[in-house]
Amino acid sequence: MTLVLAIAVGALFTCGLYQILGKDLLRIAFGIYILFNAANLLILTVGTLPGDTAPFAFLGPRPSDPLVQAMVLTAIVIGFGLATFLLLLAARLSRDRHSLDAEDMRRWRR
Amino acid sequence: MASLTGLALPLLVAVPLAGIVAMLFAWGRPVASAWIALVTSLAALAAAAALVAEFAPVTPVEQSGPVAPVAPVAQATRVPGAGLPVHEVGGWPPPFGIALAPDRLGLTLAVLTGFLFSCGTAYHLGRTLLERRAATGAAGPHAVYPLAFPLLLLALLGLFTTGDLFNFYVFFELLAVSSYMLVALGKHEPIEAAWKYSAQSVVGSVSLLVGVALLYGRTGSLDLHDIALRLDEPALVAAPFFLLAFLLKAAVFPFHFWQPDAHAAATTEGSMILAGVLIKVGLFGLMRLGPILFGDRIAWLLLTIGGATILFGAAAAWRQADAKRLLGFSSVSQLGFVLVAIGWGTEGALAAAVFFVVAHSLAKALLFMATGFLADPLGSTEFAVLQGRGASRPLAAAAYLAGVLSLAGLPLTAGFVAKVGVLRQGVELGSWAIVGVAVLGSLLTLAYGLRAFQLLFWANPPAQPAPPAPPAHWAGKAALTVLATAVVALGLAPGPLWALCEAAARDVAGGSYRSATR
Repeated sequence: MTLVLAIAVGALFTCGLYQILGKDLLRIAFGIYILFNAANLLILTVGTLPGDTAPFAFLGPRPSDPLVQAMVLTAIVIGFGLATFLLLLAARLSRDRHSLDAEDMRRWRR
Repeated sequence: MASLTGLALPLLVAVPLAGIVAMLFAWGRPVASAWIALVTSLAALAAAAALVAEFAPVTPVEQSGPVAPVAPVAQATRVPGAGLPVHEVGGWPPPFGIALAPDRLGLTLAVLTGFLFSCGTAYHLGRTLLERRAATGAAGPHAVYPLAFPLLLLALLGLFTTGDLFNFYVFFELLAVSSYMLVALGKHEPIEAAWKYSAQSVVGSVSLLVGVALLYGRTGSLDLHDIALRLDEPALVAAPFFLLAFLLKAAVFPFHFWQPDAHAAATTEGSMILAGVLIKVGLFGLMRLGPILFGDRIAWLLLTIGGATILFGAAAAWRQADAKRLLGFSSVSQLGFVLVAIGWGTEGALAAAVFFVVAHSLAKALLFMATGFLADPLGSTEFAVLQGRGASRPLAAAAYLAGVLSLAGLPLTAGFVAKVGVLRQGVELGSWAIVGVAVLGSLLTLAYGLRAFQLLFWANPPAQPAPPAPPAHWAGKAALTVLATAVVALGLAPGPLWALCEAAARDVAGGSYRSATR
């Protein structure tokens, strides 16, 4: 299971990095969102107690690590908020400047 | 005075929270919001000062002998860091609960934060009152803008005092988001600068999150003291991710692209806070988490980046045609000095680094505020517009000159003590190449600083007459005077602050992660 998750984390980081290296502001914003999700999956993967059942429910002898779930819950909210903020900025930029190309940023500088 | 301890530490976080709530009730009323921001900052300053007054060392500890490298983790864990305040949030003892457990480095920076926020919000109040009096009908800042002050204050004070790794990340994010507000609601080309800043900063955030995850996977704990106990050597796997996040936040040489634009876009008080405390957060992270992450393994890297940063920033500052971009590149250059001192990593060097951070924050905030006195009435920060406009503003001129001299490290200013402290460490360690770079950087600082001063306050103004500018408000003038006094006073009597910085350095080098139970 850990191997599958590790491969998934690696694949997500690859996709995210590829996206943020592009020129399109929207693709950068989505790439960052993918990166955040990769980090969240990484947190779940590194959880110290690889459990079989839900924590605190006393369903089995090997409960999962509740701390990673708490962390991921927080991190999901933060990542979602940041990605939304970036999308909002991209929307404002495209409205003001009629472009979503990062190359144009250089020309915008006074 | 246990009651004071028990109260002041949670108050550091509670006061900005109360300020946020109060500001929601004053929604859409700029003057009331500005007053709330000022009162919140002053209250936070008082709480931080009370903590420092209680926990500042009266007598320095014995070990002032020859140079000792940064303690490796195994040694660090033997030092319990006794005598520091702890607040167990909700009564849960660490490592299960989340504790506020600052070391003296965090307390020093908390006082600095409170002081700079007080000055910045005083300027904001003055500007708001002036704008209301003028009643030009021009749109002021957005109603949400003043909310950035207590939010940032909360994030900074929380970051400086937390003893929990994930809490550190959350405050780091809160800090980033509220500083995006400061830039995106600024005056000049704000959206472009905000995009640049946010996109780069968010990459740092992801990196920090990955680092936290890896460190948690390695140790199974989030309490900083507990992590230090569980590691027997620096966590080098997680280290690069933390390093990227901190260097991006500090805006040193290869990662500086967002910083001058963000400064130029933000308002005067926004720039003061950005340059004063925000970019110092990366350095705080390096110093606070350095012992568990790197030990002394990356000294060469920090020295290389620091040296390159000093020269690049100074050279770039010389070429700027915009007063605030010049100050932004100057911050890039000056932070190189701190990075070099952290790279040396001895207790003396770390003490000099902390003092340098304080001195640079005060001087840079002073310079931004003095620039704001000229630039805010004219609505531009370019030298072409501002040229010679300061001739009729003696207070701003004196403050700007004090800031430039302190920045360049001339005697009788705080910057002198800081620069001499850093250079002395370099000489003691025989690191002559870096010392040469630092001296050259100081000379370049003096050159571009005096050039800016000459352009703003001495040169002949352009032919067309200036639009009539209202005199500055008393609140802004008072803040400017207080800041300038602080810069000069710390140069004349650096003793108490230097003792505090030495204590902070001892805490850092000793790895003072602690929790109440140990």
